[in-house]
Amino acid sequence: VRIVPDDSDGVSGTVFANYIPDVSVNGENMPVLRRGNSVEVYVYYFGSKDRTVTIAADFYHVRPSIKSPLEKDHASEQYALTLNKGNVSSNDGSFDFPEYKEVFRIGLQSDDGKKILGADLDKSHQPEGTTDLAPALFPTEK
Amino acid sequence: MNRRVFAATGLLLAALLARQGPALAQTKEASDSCRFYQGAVQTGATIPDKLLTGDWRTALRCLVSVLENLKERVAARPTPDDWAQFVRTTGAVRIIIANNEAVGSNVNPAVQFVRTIGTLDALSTLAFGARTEDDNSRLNATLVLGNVIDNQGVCVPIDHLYYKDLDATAYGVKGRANLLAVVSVVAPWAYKENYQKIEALYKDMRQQLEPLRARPDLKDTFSILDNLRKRLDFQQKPGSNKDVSIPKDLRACQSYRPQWAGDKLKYTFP
Repeated sequence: VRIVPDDSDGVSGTVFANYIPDVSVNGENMPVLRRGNSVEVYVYYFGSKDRTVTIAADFYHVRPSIKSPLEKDHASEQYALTLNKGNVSSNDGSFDFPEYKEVFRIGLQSDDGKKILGADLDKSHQPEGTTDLAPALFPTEK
Repeated sequence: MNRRVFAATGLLLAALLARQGPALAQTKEASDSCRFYQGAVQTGATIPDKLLTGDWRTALRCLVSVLENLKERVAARPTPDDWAQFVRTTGAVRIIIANNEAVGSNVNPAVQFVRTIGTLDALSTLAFGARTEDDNSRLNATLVLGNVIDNQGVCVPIDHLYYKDLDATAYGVKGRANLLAVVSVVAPWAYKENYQKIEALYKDMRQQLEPLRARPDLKDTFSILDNLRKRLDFQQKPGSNKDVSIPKDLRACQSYRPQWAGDKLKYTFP
C-alpha cells in the first residue's frame, strides 16, 4: 500500500523528502520503502481470510538545519485498510504483498506556518513606535 | 571584390555574435530554469525543497511569473486545475518566505524580493485566490498577499473589496475578511493617497455591513474592520506617512485599471 504527501496544500509534496516514515499495522512494525515521492508499506496478506487492519503512520522530520516553520516536526495519521482480493489492483509484489488500490495521504504542513511572517517588519515603511501597533488579524479558516 | 565583401561581412557577423553570446546564453539559462518551475506547477511534479532553499531568487522570479500568467485564467472561468496550479505556486512561495524568516526586526529578504519583482498582475491573481471557492487557494493566497503587500500594490485588494457579490457566497464572505486583513497590513504606513483610499473603503464597508452585525458568519469580518480602524488611527501622530504623497518609485497603482472600484481608485499626483 502507498502513502503519498497530501499535495492539496501546495507544501507537503515539496517537503516530503525531509521526513522518514515509521509505519505499523495493528501495532506491528512494517517494512517501508521510499519510491520517488511516495512510501510503499509492505503489508503482508496470506489470503486466509478478509480483515480490516489499522495502519498507523508516523513521519519524522530529519533535516533540522533546513526546517522551516511550515513543516511539522512529526506528522501522524491512521488509516483503515481492508485486506481482501477485491481490494487489490496488482500482484506485482507477489501474492503475499499485493498492491492495494487505496492510496493514503499525509499532510506535513504545520499550523505555525499559517500566519503572516514578515508583513509588519518592513522598517522602510514602518512608522515609529510600532510597539503600540495592534497586529493585523488574519482569519484562520482551517 | 565579392570575396572581400563576404570576408568583411563574415568578420562583422562573428564579432556581433561574439558580443551577443553571453547575453543570449544568460537569457536561455533563465528561461530554462523557469521552464522547470512552469512544468512542475502544471504537471504537479514535486519541486525539490533544495531548489527553494538554494537559488531561491530565481525560484521566486519564476513563480511570480507563473502567477502573472495565471491572471487571465483565474479572472475569467478558472478550472479546478487552474486552482491546483495556483496552490502549487503559492505553496512554493510560502516555503521560500518561511525559509527566509527574518530574525528580530529585520525584513524577510524573500518578502522584500517579491515586493521588488512583483507586478500588479501577480497581485491580482493572488487577490482572486484570496476570495475563491477553493479553500487551499484562499489560505495560500492570503498568507502570501499578507506578507508581500505594500504601498505599491494595495490598490489591488482594495479594488477586489468593491466587488459587489462578495456577500452572496460563504467563500465570498471569507474572501472579503481575508482581503480586509491584507489591506489592514498597509494601513499604519500607508502614504497619503493610499490612506485616503483605505479610509474610504473602511467607511463604505462599515455602511454596508453595519445592518448585518447580528450575522454570526460576519464575526471575523467585524473584528478585522475594528482592527483596520485601530491601524488607520495609528497614523494620527504628526509626521505620519498619511500626510506624505506616495514617493515616485512606489506609484505603481497609478497605472492600475480598477475593475470594480471605479473612480474611487483614481490616483492623481501633484
